[in-house]
Amino acid sequence: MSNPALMPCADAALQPIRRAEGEPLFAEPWEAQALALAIALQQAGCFNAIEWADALGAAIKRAQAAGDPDDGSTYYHHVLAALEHLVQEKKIASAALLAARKEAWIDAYEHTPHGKPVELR
Amino acid sequence: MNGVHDMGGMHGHGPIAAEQDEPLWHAPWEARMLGIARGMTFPKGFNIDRFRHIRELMPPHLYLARGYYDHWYSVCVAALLDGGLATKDEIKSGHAAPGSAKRNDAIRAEQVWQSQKSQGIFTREVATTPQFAIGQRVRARNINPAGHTRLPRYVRGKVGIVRLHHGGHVFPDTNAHMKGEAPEHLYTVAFSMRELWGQEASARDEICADLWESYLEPA
Amino acid sequence: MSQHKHTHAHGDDLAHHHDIHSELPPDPALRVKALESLLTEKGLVDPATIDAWIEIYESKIGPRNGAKVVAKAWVDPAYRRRLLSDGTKAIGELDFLGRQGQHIVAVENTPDIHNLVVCTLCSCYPLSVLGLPPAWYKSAPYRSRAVIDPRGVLKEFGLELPEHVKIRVWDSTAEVRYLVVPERPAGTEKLSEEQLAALVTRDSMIGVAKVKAP
Repeated sequence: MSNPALMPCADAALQPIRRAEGEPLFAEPWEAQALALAIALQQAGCFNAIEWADALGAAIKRAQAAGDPDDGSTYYHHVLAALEHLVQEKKIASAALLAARKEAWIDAYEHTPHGKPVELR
Repeated sequence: MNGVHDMGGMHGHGPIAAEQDEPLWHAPWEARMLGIARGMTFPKGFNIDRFRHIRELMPPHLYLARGYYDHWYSVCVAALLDGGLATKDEIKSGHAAPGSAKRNDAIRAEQVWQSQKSQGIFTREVATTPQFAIGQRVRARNINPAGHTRLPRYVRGKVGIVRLHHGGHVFPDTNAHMKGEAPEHLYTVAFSMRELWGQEASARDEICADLWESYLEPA
Repeated sequence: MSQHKHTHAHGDDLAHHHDIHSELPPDPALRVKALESLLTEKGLVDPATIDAWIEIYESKIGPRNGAKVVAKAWVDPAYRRRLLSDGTKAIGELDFLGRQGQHIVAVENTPDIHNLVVCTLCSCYPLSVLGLPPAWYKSAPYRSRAVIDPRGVLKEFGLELPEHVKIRVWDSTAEVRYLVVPERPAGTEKLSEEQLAALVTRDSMIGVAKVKAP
C-alpha cells in the first residue's frame, strides 16, 4: 500500500494496526498478505465492512477466551481466523488464503524452539 | 456540553406515542420555518455544527417544552442577533429598522435543488494515519467540554470495539466554534449494553456510536 | 499519542440572547410570521426560496427513495452486495444522495440481527433517502430510550423480537447516516421490484418495524 494517510475514505476502511514508533508495520510478510487479502476480498464484495467487523470481533473473542494475550501482538492471527470463517460462510474458495495460512504455519514452525509443539501464535 | 439535549439513557420522558399517519407539518408555520432555516442568509462562516451548538444553548426548560421547528426558530434568531444581521427590536416587531439596508444576495429558488444535491459533504483528507484498527478495543475518554461535542455522556469512560472507520471527517468540536474544520479520523465504536448500563442489561444487544479519534484512547 | 485538541473551556457567549424569549409571544405561528416578514424586508431570505424548500420535502424527497433502494437490493444480489459494501456509492447510483445523506451506511436486518437508528443528541436522519423525520424520531422519549431500552421501544411499536435476535442500535453522532435494509417478507417471490418497493415502509428503514407481506 502506498501512503495510507492519503487513501480515499473507502479504502481507508482496513488499516494495519499501528505499531510503536520505529517498529515495522508488519512483523512478518504473511501479516501483510493476510491484510491485503482481507482488503481485496472486501473490495470484491465477498463480504462487507460490517460482516468483516463482526467476524474479526468474534475471532478476537474466541482467541481471548482461549487465553490469547490482549496486547495486539496476535492481531493478524485474528485477521486470518476471521478470513477463514468468512471464506467458509460465504463459500469463497481462495488459493491465496490457503497460501497465507501456510505461510503463517511456516512462520510458527520457524519460531518454535526445538522440541516444543508447533502452534499458530 | 452536558446539556439536556444529551438524552441517551435518560428516564422519565414518557411513552413515544407515535402519531398514526402523521402529516409532514402540524401547522403551516412549521413548513415556513423549515424553508426559512434552509433559505436564509446566515452570518459568514456559519455551519451545521454551529447550528447544533446554538440549539444546545437554548434554556433547558424551553428545549424540553418547545416543538422541534420552534427550536429552529430559536437558533435562527440567535444567529441573526449574534452575527449582527438583525436587532432585538427588529425581531420583536417583525419589521426592518427604518433606513436599514436591504440585501439582494439571498439564495434564489432556482438554486435550491442543486444546493440540496451538493451540500453536506463532510469527508476530508487527514494527514495522519488512523490511530485505531478495526477490532481494536478503545475507551471513550471522560471529557466534559463546556462547548460543543458529539461525544454523548452515556459512552464516556466506557470500553468498546472499533467496527468501522470512515476516514477523515470535519471535527464538530472546533467547527462549531468557528475554529476551523480540523478533520480527524472518524470511527464507529460498538459498546455492549452491559458495558453501558450494567449487569442487568441485555447480554446480547449493543449500541454503536460514531466517534472522532480524539474522543478515544486505547483500552 | 495524538495531540488532543484544546477545545473551548467554556460555552459560547450566546446565552445573553436567551432573554429575548421572555419578550416574544409564546405562539410560534406569530413569531415565525414576523421572522419571515423581517427577513424578506431585509433581503435575508427570498419567500420563493422558502416555497422551493417546502416543495422539495412535500413532493420530491421522501421514503419512496429508500424503498426503491431496498427493493433493488432484494431483487438484485449484486446491487445488494454493492449497497452493503459502500452505501454512499450504491445509493448514488440511483441518484438519491443529497443534503443529510452524503455519507450513508446501509445496515441489513437478518434473522439474527435487527438494526435500529437514532440520534440521541439531536435529530440526525438520512433525509435524502427518507425525507423529513417523523416527530417521534426527534422526540425526547425516543432519543432517550432507544439506547437504553431498544427492546422496549420496539415493543411500543408493536414489534417483539425473539430473545436470540441481537439488536444493534446506531446512534448517529456524526454525519454518517444509517439506512436499515429490512428483511424481505416471505410470500413475495412473485412480486416485481416496483410492487416490492410499495411494501417498504419508512418505519422499517428506521428499524422500528418489519416489512409485511401484502
